[in-house]
This record gives sequence, C-alpha cells and structure tokens, in this order.
Amino acid sequence: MLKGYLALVLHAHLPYIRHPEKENYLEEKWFFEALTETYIPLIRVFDSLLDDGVDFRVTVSLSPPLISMMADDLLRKRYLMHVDRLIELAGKETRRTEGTEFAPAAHMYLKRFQEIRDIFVNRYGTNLLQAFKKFRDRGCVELITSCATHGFLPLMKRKESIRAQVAVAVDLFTRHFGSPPRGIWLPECGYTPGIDEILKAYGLQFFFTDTHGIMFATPCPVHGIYAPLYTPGGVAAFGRDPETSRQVWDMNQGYPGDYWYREFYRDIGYDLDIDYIGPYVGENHLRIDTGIKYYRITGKTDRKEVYDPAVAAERAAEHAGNFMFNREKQVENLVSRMDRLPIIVSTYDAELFGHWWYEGPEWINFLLRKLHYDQDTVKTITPWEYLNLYPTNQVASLPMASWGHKGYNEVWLSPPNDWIYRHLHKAETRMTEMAQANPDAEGLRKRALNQMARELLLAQSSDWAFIMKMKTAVGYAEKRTKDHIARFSRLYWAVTNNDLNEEEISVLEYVDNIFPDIDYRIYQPAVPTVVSLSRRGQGTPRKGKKVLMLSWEFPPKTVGGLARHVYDLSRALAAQGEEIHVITCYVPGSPDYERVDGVHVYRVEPRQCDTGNFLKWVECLNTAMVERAHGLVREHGFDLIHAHDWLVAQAAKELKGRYRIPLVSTIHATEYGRNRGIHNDIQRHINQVEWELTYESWEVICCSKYMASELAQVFQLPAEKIRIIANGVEIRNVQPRAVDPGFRNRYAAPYEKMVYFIGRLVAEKGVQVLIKAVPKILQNFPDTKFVISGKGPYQDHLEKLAARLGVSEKVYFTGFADDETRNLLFAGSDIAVFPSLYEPFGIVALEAMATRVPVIVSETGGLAEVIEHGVDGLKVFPGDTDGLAGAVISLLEDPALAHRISQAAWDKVNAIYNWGVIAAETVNVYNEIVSEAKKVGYAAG
Amino acid sequence: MSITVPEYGFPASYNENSIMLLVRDPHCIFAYWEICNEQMDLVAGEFGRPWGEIPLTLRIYDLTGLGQDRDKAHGSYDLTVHSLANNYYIPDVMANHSYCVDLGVISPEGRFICLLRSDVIQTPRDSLADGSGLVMADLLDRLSGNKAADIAADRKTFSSDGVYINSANIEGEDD
Repeated sequence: MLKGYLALVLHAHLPYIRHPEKENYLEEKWFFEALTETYIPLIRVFDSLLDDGVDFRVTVSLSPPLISMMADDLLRKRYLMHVDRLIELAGKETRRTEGTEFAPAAHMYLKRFQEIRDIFVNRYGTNLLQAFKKFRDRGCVELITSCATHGFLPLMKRKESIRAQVAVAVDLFTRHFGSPPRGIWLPECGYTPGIDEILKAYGLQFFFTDTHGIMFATPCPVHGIYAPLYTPGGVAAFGRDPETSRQVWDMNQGYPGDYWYREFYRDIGYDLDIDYIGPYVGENHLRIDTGIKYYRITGKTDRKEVYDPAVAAERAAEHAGNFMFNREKQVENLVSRMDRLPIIVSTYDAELFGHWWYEGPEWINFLLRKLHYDQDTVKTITPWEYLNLYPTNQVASLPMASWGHKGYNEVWLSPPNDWIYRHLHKAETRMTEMAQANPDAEGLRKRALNQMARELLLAQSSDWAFIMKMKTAVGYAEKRTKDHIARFSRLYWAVTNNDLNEEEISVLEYVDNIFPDIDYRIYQPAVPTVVSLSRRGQGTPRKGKKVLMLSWEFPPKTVGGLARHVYDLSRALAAQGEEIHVITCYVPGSPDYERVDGVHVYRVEPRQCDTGNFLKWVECLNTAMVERAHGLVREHGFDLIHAHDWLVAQAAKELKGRYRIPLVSTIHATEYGRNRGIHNDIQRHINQVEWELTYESWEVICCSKYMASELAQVFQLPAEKIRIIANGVEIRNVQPRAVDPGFRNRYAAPYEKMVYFIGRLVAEKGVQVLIKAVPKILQNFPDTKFVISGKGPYQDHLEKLAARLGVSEKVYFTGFADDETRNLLFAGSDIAVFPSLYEPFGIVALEAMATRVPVIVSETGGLAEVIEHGVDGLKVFPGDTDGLAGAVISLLEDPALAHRISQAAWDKVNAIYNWGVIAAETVNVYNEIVSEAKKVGYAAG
Repeated sequence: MSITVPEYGFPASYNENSIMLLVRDPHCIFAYWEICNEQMDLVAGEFGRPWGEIPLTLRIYDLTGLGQDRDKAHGSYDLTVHSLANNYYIPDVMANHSYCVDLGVISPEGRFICLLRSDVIQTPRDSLADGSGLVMADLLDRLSGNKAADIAADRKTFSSDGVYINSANIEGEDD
C-alpha cells in the first residue's frame, strides 16, 4: 500500500566558463568532465529507464549557465575534440594494460567513452538540451531553473538584482524548453524573506530550502519537513530531508565511501610517465585529472587496490536496495502522524553522481528500477504533482537560510571573499540607475547597457565566492570577479560619458556572450520612484575629469617601460570614469586618432626635422603636440594636463601657461639618476628641462620613496609637492604556472635547484655580486644552477669572473629573453635574485612576485620598498656577497619559508601593485590639484 | 577568430560615503563602509590629527520590532574600530533581532559624531518558533506551468480556496 512519496532532486550547475580567446583553457575542462562523468551518464540512465517502461519521477534543475554552455557552439565543438582525445587515450590504455590486472577497467573506460560520444553525437546531435526537453515532455523529469548566474540572493543589495537573476533565468528556460519552469532551485538554497514575492511574479510555484529553513519558520511547521509550506508570498517551499542527505552525501558513512567504489584521487594524469600522458593533460605538462582512474577506495590506506567495475556495480545495486528499504521504513513511520502522505525531499548536487561518486548514476538507475518493480510503499513524485495532490498547506514565514556550511551566509561572506560585496553592490546600484536613466536606449547605447547587465550577472556567480573560500582555484575566481566588475565599470563610464566604441563593445559581447536576448530594462526599479537618487549629491552621475596626457611613447611605439605605463594607467583611469586624451608620437601604420578602451589617443608627427639630432627632434615633437592640443583644448576644456618625463616638458609648459590649466607630471627616472651624476652638456640640458617640468608642475608623481628623495635632492622640490604612487604590474599569469620539464631541462638538470636573474648586464644591476656568492652557495647546495638572462656591455666581465671563480659550469648566460621565456624561467626557478646597486623602482621584482617565485633583492632604491624582509621576500645589503649567499641558502634550506614568502608576495602584488589601485590614487592627486587650483583661482577660462 | 581581451583596472574604491550591513549568520553581522577623502580630511582637520590616528566608533542599535527610529532603540553599544579598516564582523548579536549601525567618531568632549548611518537589518531565527497563529491555505496557482497534473483534488482536508485558521498548536493539529 502506498504510504508516501520520494522527491529526488538533482541540481545541475557549473559557472559559465568559456574562453574563446584561448584553446585548452584549463577551467573549461570542468564542464567537459561533468558532461562525461555526470550529465551524459544521467541522460543515458533516463533513456534506458524510458526504453524499459519504468515509471519514475525526478526533478532536475538546470542552471542557466549550464543551459547556455550546453547550447554553445564553440563549447560543443571543443567537447567533441575533448572526448575524441579521451577515446584515443583510453585506446592506448587498453594496449598498455593488456594482460595486467588493469585491463578490465581500461576496456570499461574505452567502451564507456565511446558510448558517451555516441549519445552526444548520434543520439542528440551534440545538443544535450534536446535530451532534457524530451524527458520533460515525457513527464518523467520535472525540469526547473536556477538563478541566471547562480547568484547568492541573500547577499544582494537591491531587489532589482534579485529580480533580474530570476527574470533572466525564466526567460532563458522558456526560450530553450518552450514553456516556463514551474519551480526554481535557489542557488545554494539561499533564501531570505521577500524573495518569494519575486518568484511568484515570475510564475515560479515552488523552491527548495535546507531543513532549518522549514523548521525555524514562524509559526512552526505542523508536519516538519515532510510537507511543504507556503510563504506569505504564496510560493511553496520544500525542505531537505537530512536522513537521505546523510546516506548519500556523507563521505565517511555515506554510500560513496564504500571501499569497492572507484578512488577519485588516483588518476593516470598524475600517475603515469609524463612523456606518455603529456598530450592528454594540461599545457606545459601540468598534471590534471584525465578521468581514467584504476583504483578502488580500498580503505584508509595509501596502498590502493585495483578497481573492479563489476563488483562496484553490485555494490551500487545493494546500496540502492538499502536506500529503498530505509525510505519504506521512513514513510511507514511518518504516515501515521500526518493528515496526508508524507513527501521526502532528497536534494543533491548532480555532480555528486558520476563526477565524485563514479557509480552514482548507476545507483540512481538501480534505485528507480527497484522502486518501480519491487515494492509499492513509496512512489517517486515531483513537487508540482505533490502540490496538486495536496494544494492546501500551512502558511508560514521562512527565515533566511542556505544549505552552506553552518546553514547561513558564512561560506560566501568571510575574509577570503567579503571584499567582493562592496563592488557587486556598487555595480547593482549603478545598473539600476542606468536602467532608470535610459528607459529606451537604442543602438550602441542599448548594446552597452545590455552588456553591463551580462557583466554584473557574471560577476555575481556564487561560484567565485565559494572557490575563494574553499581555496581551490582562487586565482581564477578572483580574476573572474575582477574582470567582470572592471568591464562593468568601464561600460558604466562609457555610457555615462557617452564614450561608446563599437569595437570595444563587440569584443566584450564576444567574450562574455551569455544571455544573447537579455534586456537591461529588467533592472528598472519596479515602482519608478521619484526622479530620485539625488541623495549624497549623486543626482546626475559624476562626470570624470578631462585630462590631457602627454607622453612621447604609447603603444605600438614602445622604447622603454614608459609606453606600457601610460597605456595601462590611461586605460585604468578611463575605466574609472576619467576622460583621458593622450597626445603621443606618430608611428608609421598607426592611426592619427583612435580610441583605446575609452582613451582618446592622438598621434602627431614632428615635421621638418633633422632626425640626426635627438634634442632637436624632441623640440619638433613638442611643437607638433602643442599644435594638436590647441583644437582639443577648445573642444574639450581640460581640467588638467598630465605630462610624463622630460621629453614632453616643453609642450606641457607652453599649454599650461597659455590656457591656465594646472599641470601634474610623472617623473619616471632622472637624468641624474640614470648617469649617477651630470657629466656633460646634453645631460645638463636634460637635467635643466626636468627641473623646469617639476618647477611648473602643481604636483610631481613618482613611483617610490627612493625616487621621491632623489627628486627632492636633485631639483630641490619641497616634499609636499611630491606624490608617491607605486607602479603597477599586469598580472597575466593568474595560475601558478607549471613549466614543461623539457623547457626547464634546457637550463638546468631536473635535480638541480635554479636561481634566476634577469636584467641588463651592466654594473649597477649587481650580477657580479651574485656570481661572487656562487662558490659559497655551492658548498652548501652543490646541485644549484644560476641562470642569467639579459644582454649588456658587462657580460664579458661577468663570464670571466665566473671562469676565474671556477663556477662557469654552474652559471648559464641565456642572452636576451622575451617576456614568455622570462615568465617560464621565473616559474621554473626556485629563487629569483635582484642584487642591484641602483634601481629606482624595480618592476622586474614585482613581475617575479607575480609568478610566485620567492625573491631576494638588495636593499636599494625602489627594490627595497617593494619587499618587506622575511615577509614577502628577503633583502640583503647591496654588494654584500656573503649576505646574498646566506639568503639564497636559507631559502633553499627551508622550502616552507620559500613557499610562505612567495604566497605573501603574490597577495601583495595583487592588492597593491594593481592598476585599479594606482588609477584611484592618481585620481586622488587629480582631485586635489583641481580643487586647490579652483581655490586659488587658477583655472581655465 | 583571434582577439585580445582588454584588461581594465579593477576599481579600488568609489570615493563616496556609504555603509552596508549584511547578515553572516544569526549571531554575526558584517559591516563594510567607505568614507570619502573630503570627509576624512574634514574630520582630521577638526581633530587636528591625521585620520589614521582617530579611532572610529561603531554604535549598534537594537531596533527589534521598532522600525527605523534610533531614538526609540531598546539599547545600543559601541565598538571601537581602527580608522583605516573598512569592514568589521560584529559578533555576538542575537538571532531574530533587528539592528542598525552608526559609524562615527567620538569628539574630544566625548560626543558621538555620526558619519555614516546604515539601514536596519534582521537576523534570522535559529530555533523553533511556537505553533500559534497557524494558517492553512491553498495558494497554488494552477494556471502556471505548461500542464497542470490532473490529479483529483485532495479529498481529506480543506476547501480548495478557503483559508482555515487554527490557533491551536502542533498537538492539536496532529490527528
């Protein structure tokens, strides 16, 4: 006799990860693995149940990012390549393991992967959504949605944001499956009062919450979690049954921990020789899971035994039987105490089945068959069917709750991730303001607003905060959060300042292409409130300052680090809403005017100029800059002129005087510092021009305390006129890079430790100090190799020095190294050393820190300021051979120290030497100058 | 298609005055804030000390059941925070209570000067409520979804659109 119901709920979600800009993106594999191990095996199970006429009900939530990835052409194509490679590997494995105890498992994998490919390609034409649509139409799978990007709703600031997460999800679902979903999986079961009204407005009739979300409702629930509650907004809430959770989830007592099941952590991607497995793992032979695993859990031991697929399948059948037996007992127990048949709601992450618990999909297969054939006490049901059976339910107010650790918001709100909310909230507010201010945008403006909505949604994925908390792929999660916020912020200012660039928006649309049909107007306030938002003087969005920036080089023209600096700084300023116009020098092949990520770039050509004389050429360049600036000043009315280095001093001075626009300059290096003094007329001239530039400037920006004191000394600048803003580093390598051993072998033997230096080979870089320290280091660590990259007049001297000390074999000069080689060498080495005698800033040390190699620097100039001794690096006195040897030895001796230091260094690079921070500090300097200038009546016009 | 994805700087701050409260769990509230440079300069000027040396005070009000008016609060207490901090986890608050916060400085005369004022938030309850005020209702919207299951309406209990109110507690409801 029927005594109760079981609602099996599988929540399928992965964050939206799609990188068209690069092949073999490591994180894209998460999706491919889930397809191979979970989603396609589940489809296979449901298909076989339908074929055999088994009557079953399962509720599946497909998150919008997952739907979008399943529908995406690029990812479908890439997955096919992925699965083909997998089949190739499995084929090799059957030959390699022939006659060994691994052979049955190897054959099982080959067969399984071929079958997966067949289902993907032949049965569903690479569109797996067709499968889910079919199951839904057949009535056996209740397909529901989740939030647009799986945003964690209880920590959102504005109702409009929650509404957008729901509305976009329902819309996407309806487009793909033909009719709207009846229920929703709230991401992480995150609920807070008020959400229910939004769900109701979008036709969503039910959602799920964790056990305490029901139990702590007011008034307390009559039937506990074994019947749904209606929220005051009229949506049914189903509570998770803890007993069934424990049986499946618990890694120790739960089924997945059975000793006969497959061991997740022994993958051939880690176990086999890299020469063999190399083509099937990550770039540069980074070892990752391939999905082929030959061992069973065996027990609490490292000596794992061989996996036997047949025995594992028997265990899955037994566990299914046990689960069914327990449910029969459970409903028999409950039914006598209720006025209706109880519903047991068992909710799981879909990826548990197959990905973590390899036999999971088979377990579901056995369970649903047994429930159908072997008994009639328990029936599977969907929440919607249950509600129709029992439409009258208790009404109660549910408290905030989630299914995360400790049951509330701590997983997503704790020191590793709490910093994201001020940015997400700001973006939410800006998005709402923008939607209200632009009720009917068209064309490019509309595209920009829609893209803003996409960027905000993508930034809100709960996955990023979760990963930061779990400390797994933190670099990637932080990068995603920051990228989407930065793109959002850039678009916000582009729309605000009416500074829209078709090409730029196209690139962002192409890269973050989720939700092609999004309409930004979902962010319009529900009740179009008062013309509003004049609070804190923000009635109209603040316009950025207009700044005329002068620099003799700008990409593609790059002679030194200056071009890179101006490029990064100007773009970061534009992304924070400043209006930046850069005048720079002409380069053949580059346009005279272009927009670079919101920055206006004008290129001018020095005319009638004898190129033989550099100073004369500089003069002509300045004249050309001034000519170009006249029109721009009239058109834009700049608030400020920002000059970089002495080469543009003349133009800066002239424009300042003529239009009374305050001037700020950045001095990157001084002639005095470059030459350790002033020795001839040309130097004296340049020194004079530099002095004039600083004299004419309202304030002077430099990059380190060291430079500040040099400026004060050389130009007699008062301290209050100098502002120190550290230089930035672009952190392109967010992942700890794994280096191809073949690459490293070219520089050092596998057993050798590698100490690395890169820089110009000139006396002030101090490489001679390092070479003199080599013999002492070798006494302690004979297997150490010293790799020196760079060219310069001093090379000969250095090589001879190494020969004289008898360490030539241990010191390797690579010559010039390009950026890529340099980064790989950093990543492949154990220590990076910068023993400079003079170094105004030392960006190279920051770049080393960004690749997570521990660094040793000498206590000089800017280098000394970058590093805090013993915390994020080691410092030695310039020229101190013994000290340097000691520092190298201490890091080689103590890997834990080396690790701690490199980690702290990475955090520092991330937090301080970041262009966003630098731009913000620069804006502060701008504000200061503009307001002071106003105060004393010094202003244009 | 080969493309370069532009890298924009990540905004460090917004140079504005704002404070926000978020519930971490029934016993802890997270507060984050930002104070704009002008405001900091103003305060530093008034106090004649650098901003970094002026301690901040978080004043926490218990407004459970009272709306927004701080003057009517059941009580309040202060926490001292370093002025260079921009967030704080307020510990030991009570479940199922409403709180709001003022962030300010204590003047040399001992007066509290409020700089930022938060909204009111409520912590969730972490224990069973009582069963009083029980309401049963049919709130199902049968027109939604693509096909309503044609299962016969419940025979046993209540009329399908009536609202049934019972002030009895669980025991009374059991059979």
